[in-house]
Amino acid sequence: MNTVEDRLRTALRDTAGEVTPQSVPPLRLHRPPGRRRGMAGPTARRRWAAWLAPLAAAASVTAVVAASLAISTAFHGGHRPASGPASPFAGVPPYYVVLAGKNPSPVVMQRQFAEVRATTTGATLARVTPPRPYRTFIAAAGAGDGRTFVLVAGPWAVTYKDGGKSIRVAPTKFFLLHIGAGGRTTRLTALPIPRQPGGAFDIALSPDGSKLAVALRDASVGGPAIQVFDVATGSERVWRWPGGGPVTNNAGGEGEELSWAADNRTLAFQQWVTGNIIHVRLLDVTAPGGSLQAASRLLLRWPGDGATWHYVHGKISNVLFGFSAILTPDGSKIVAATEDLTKHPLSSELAFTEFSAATGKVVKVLGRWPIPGLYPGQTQDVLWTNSSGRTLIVLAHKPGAPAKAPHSGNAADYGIEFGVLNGNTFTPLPGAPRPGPNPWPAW
Amino acid sequence: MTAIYQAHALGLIRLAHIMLGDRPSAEDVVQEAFCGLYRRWSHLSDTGSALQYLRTSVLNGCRSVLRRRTGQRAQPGDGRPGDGRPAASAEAAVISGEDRREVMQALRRLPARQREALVLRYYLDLSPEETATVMGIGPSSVRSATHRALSSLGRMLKELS
Repeated sequence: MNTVEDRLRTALRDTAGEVTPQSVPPLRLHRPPGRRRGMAGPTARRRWAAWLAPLAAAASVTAVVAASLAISTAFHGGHRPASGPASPFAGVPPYYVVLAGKNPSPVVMQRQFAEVRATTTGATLARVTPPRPYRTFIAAAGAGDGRTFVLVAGPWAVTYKDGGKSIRVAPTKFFLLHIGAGGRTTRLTALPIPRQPGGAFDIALSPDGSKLAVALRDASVGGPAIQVFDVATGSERVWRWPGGGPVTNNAGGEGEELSWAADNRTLAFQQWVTGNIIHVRLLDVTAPGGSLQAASRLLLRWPGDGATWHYVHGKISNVLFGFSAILTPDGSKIVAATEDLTKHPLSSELAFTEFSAATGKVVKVLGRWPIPGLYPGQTQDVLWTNSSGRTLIVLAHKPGAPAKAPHSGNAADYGIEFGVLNGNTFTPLPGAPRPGPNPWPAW
Repeated sequence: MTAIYQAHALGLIRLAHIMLGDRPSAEDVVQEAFCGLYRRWSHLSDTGSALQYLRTSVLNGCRSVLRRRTGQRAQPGDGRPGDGRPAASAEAAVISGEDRREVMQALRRLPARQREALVLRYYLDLSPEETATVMGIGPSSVRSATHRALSSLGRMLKELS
């Protein structure tokens, strides 16, 4: 090694050799949660390593060929989440996405855009509109980190027939929405998943953002079935249950009916079987075959008809109904809004109940809400859970005296609101949307 | 895009690692470059230009990282305290390793344009024209930057030895 050029070549080659082929990470589609630009070091690397699950085997990535789209408008400048260790909002995702339209209280279907809001203040930080040719968003789901979401966009085809108006919002297209630091900027990118002819309203994005689950409710949309798409490549697996009950919950079409564990292979879903019985099942998305029944196991079975109620001395007692169940990311529990009913004397109790994901047995009951003397017909929901289920974002009663049974069909009249549940303490989310006919927020 | 990543991720991380002397930052820069490509995929005139785009993007990313580092902390291998450089008594150090350290230390003291020109020419073996395309300057500027860089490098290595 005599010349400067020789020494330079050798030094460059040896330095480059410190990076081995085996150490090349898979490409990620978005910045991992909590990561800041320019932040590099052991901590950052550990976070990355923990976040990265191969988006596909080998070098994995992103065969996304569609265009990058729409940059949203920043409304109020930057936003710094206000949650601290002592805050009831500690650990909750910084942002959520809610679909909204021009009319805040629509009585008919309307075109929807997506709003990015700060969880702790409710401030609207950005608005995202569907890129042409799509005209409306119909569903949203988050990876749980408050920064990565999937939006479902569709057309808005209006036809008039037999004196009535019909609006078609399918076929639908999936878009990945990434929220940048401060919530000021968003990036919307078309995913390489084929357009879905029957629409896609019930979806769940895996915690690492690599898989998207779609529930096909019943035979009218090609189900009952569950599709799981690879977000990077668009490849699809589908599990069907011919003749099985609809894949749905009983929360009035809202709420979370699909949810992922952080292992990105366990998917919880709800199925409405004979009568009004709700089953919660766990699907292993790595299982071979295409049978939803064979690839999943029954975990919870909530009664919905008289034949399955518990009788004590001829009286119905302590019947636990559940709805809107979601799996905690650590895979240990199912957390669900529940309703415990006793008919003699008539009383009921709303709560959020944790069930063991191994045995189905009740582990803990949180946020008990006793309602003596009536059966409320109430709506509650779990929208997000931290890894262990210790902190939840829920739709629940406003603190205070129990509300009387509502006569309105409008959920907004039920005296419920979005908030954070820590143990038994419910803290309303400031500025959150009023529960109403619009879709509920996604975290 | 999968094929592009499989084919070039390693080389690009190595390139960024050479420029930054810091593996995590190198991976970050390359990831950002691929995300940028992903966003601009539909705007590329042809997929053959992807590698050129990526190289340019990686170089730009490295410049940004280095700019942010300025005045913040010692760069790896710059000889200041805390850079992990072995003490003079570390006689067990392999000679070639020590030579490499000196060369890289000198390389990182060069102005950005000269450093980039050397790395592209002598690590990637790009022609002056190819180097010019990646750097966004003219081939004659590449030749002149390379010439000056080699002279400076030689001087610095002499001082170090």
